[in-house]
Amino acid sequence: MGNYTATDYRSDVKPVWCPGCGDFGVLNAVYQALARLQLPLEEVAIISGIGCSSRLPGYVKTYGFNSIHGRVLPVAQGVKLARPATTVIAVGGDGDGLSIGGGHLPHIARRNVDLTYIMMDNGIYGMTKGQTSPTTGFDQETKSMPYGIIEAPLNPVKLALSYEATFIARGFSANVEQCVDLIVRGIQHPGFAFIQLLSPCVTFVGREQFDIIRELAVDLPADYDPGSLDQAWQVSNETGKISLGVIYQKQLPTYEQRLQELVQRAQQGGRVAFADLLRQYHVSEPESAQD
Amino acid sequence: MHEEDSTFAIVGSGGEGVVSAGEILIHATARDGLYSMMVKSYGPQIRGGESLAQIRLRKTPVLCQGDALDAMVVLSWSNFHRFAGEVRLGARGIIMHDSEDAPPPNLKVPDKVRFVAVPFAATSKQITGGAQAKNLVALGFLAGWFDLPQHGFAEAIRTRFAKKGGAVQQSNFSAFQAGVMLAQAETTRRRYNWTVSNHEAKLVLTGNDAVALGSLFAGVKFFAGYPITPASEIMEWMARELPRFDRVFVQTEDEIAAVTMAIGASFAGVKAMTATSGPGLSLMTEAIGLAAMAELPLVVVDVQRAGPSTGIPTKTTQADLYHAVFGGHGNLPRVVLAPTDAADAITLAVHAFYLAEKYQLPVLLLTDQFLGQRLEVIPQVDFAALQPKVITRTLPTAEELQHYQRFKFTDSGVSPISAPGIKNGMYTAAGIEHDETGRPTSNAELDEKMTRKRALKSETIRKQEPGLLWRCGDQDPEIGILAWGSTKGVVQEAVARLQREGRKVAAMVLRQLAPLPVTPLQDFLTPLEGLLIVEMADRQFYNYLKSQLNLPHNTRVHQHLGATLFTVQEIIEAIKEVDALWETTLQQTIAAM
Ligand code: SF4
Repeated sequence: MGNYTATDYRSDVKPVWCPGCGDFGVLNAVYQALARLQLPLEEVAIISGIGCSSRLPGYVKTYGFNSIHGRVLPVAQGVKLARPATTVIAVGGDGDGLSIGGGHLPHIARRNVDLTYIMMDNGIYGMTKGQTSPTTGFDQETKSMPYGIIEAPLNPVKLALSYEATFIARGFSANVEQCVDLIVRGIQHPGFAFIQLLSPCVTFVGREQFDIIRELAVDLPADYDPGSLDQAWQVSNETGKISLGVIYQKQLPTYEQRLQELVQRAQQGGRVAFADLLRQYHVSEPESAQD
Repeated sequence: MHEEDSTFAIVGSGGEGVVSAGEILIHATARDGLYSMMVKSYGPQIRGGESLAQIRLRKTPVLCQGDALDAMVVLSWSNFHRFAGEVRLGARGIIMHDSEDAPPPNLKVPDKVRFVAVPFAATSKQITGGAQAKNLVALGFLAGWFDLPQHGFAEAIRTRFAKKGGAVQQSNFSAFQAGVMLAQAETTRRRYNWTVSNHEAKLVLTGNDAVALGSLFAGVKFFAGYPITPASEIMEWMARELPRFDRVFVQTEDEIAAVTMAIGASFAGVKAMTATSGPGLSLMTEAIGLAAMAELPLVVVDVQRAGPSTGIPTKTTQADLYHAVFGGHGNLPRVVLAPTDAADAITLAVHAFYLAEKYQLPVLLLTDQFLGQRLEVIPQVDFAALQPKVITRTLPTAEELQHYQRFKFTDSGVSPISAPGIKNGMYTAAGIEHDETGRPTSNAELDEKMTRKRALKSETIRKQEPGLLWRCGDQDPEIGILAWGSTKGVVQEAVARLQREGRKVAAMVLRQLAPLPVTPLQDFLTPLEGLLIVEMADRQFYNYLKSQLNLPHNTRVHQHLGATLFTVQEIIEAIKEVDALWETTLQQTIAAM
């Protein structure tokens, strides 16, 4: 095993993010988490969709895939299922993951594919310059809703919980230490890990967003039990504060494990060769025709 | 050899065992050395409604579904009006119907058609205690009437009902035999001789089976799909077979997930594919652009069906041609292949993976409902001959990995491709424009170079690969036909008949639509006096050809907009019109001189 430091994971591509963007904290946490796990560069694939945050794969010196808007999860699952030895990390924003790509979240959760999905939630569309996202709050005005927002925001943690994701965590990109911890635990979790990282957009939401979150953020208490669905529902419903930490975790067989069982069931009658399969399509003369 | 060539239809309502009877007939006669093809027609509803199976039987391979019916077996008339327009009864055709179910009074049939009332249901009740086996009585009657060889039926019926046990097998076979006896009691019928001396090994399969089989042979390791008519059978096949070969099948939440998952798998280094029909292809188009931009191998099968939007999912068309060839935003290099029949579907599935892997781009395999769902008996396929086209991805060399450039500019447009797990081969694949290493860029000059690099692959394919074409007819033709994909059979038969009449006709059928094999096509076209273009779409093929070739002045399009299949007769008439047109133009020119 190599002796990797966080800088070993840094690519030579310079981030295009605005100075002070919350995404820098997430990137930093990704470097450190990979180093903490000492993962070889070639065994990691970071997959994204489109958006400011989705630029992240290019900044990490592992394998990466900056795909198309909303499709981070299916691309990531394809990579993982085709080559299970890869550590797959999916990253993207709230728009990418909850609007256009919102239909993929329940399905990766019910499959429980063993990968980690970091949703970098800035509550806005940054890359297209400031339109409403599915997590933008009622109290804001945006480029696409200049008279105020008339749609309720989605709650990513609540969604993940109702889709029965087996690992759900929330962090704040300004608290890099905690983010590193959550990402490491997410990667170590066997199954689908969903991590919401609040990472403010300084340009279209404003720098004060950091202060607002800082004021509301609390770490989950020491006696919090991530195995308790009741407590997790309470956290997902809370108002007036934002709890950070591992909100829910349970162990269930992963998709890969179930797939192996299915393969065994399919091969109960012995392994098949192509020639055997082809024989099913063959017709031969009836026995009685020869007499 | 005595040239027996008969076409039958079995019609009824869903649930009456129409298709089942047809399948038994095909398997049974194949065992006795005969070739056949069965096309199905049914309503879009799940249960009930109309159901029709049309079977053509010959001693030599069947090229198309046949023109007029020699016999129509009617299990019930109740839904007949729904497809009355699709069944063409021959002038001396025979209608075999249940004695208890009289033909509708307003039925329009040719004058000489003969009606034979047979106690299908009553015989079934008498033998099996219920009317359920009336399809087997009817099948027996048909088999007896046309003197079909009997040996195969015993086994085909036994195999068909194997899961239901000996008693059911026996009573069904008795029902069949009772039908045979009823027919043999008829002394006024014509006699047939179906004996074949040389049995060759044969395969019985649908076009969808063939695509799946070819893909597995080509080494597909990952299939992701979403159900859609008439492509679902490919997905179901993969679901059944892939786990038996340690390969991965996923039924996804939608078509976009299916194609992007396959792209992810391809990025991870394995041969990956999906299969869909028109509406699904529309949804997948953005991702097909991603595969082209990220230069990842990908195979997408489109089993075309009628109509934009939902259209008629159970009827055929060739109207996705524009979408396959031009669909997508930006400059999107792609390969489009179109198999002509089930055997060719195996071959082209292998080719699709070969081209995708070798040139790192999306390949669309364009079949249709007619080919995908028809059941064919074909001569054995030479898989060994296909083996050289089963290739593995060429990975970067140690030297290339020293300063690895995933999208390096090369003379062919193809660059060394790595995958997770390969040390020092790390790169970021992207749909965003990038430089040779994969770094994002919006530099116009670089974008121009990269776009040219990707487009260069089409040129390289034109240079390095033989354009996939199929040709038949006269070596030195006066009149030519251009067609593509599954219309090959009907064209081939039309050309053969015209040649027998002494006409100098030849046809070229495209199995590769993009990149268009311009040179061989133009060589074929230039000396022609007239050209007929045959397509099942509203001039899409014609317009596409016109945009890249010099078509003869005397060019005519013979089209169906879908839903109904071409007959050999109408193709022959259309060719004769092209011929006549040439004559008139010639005479006018002479007169004007
Ligand atoms: S626009 Fe907002 S989210 Fe995007 S890089 Fe700038 S600060 Fe970050």
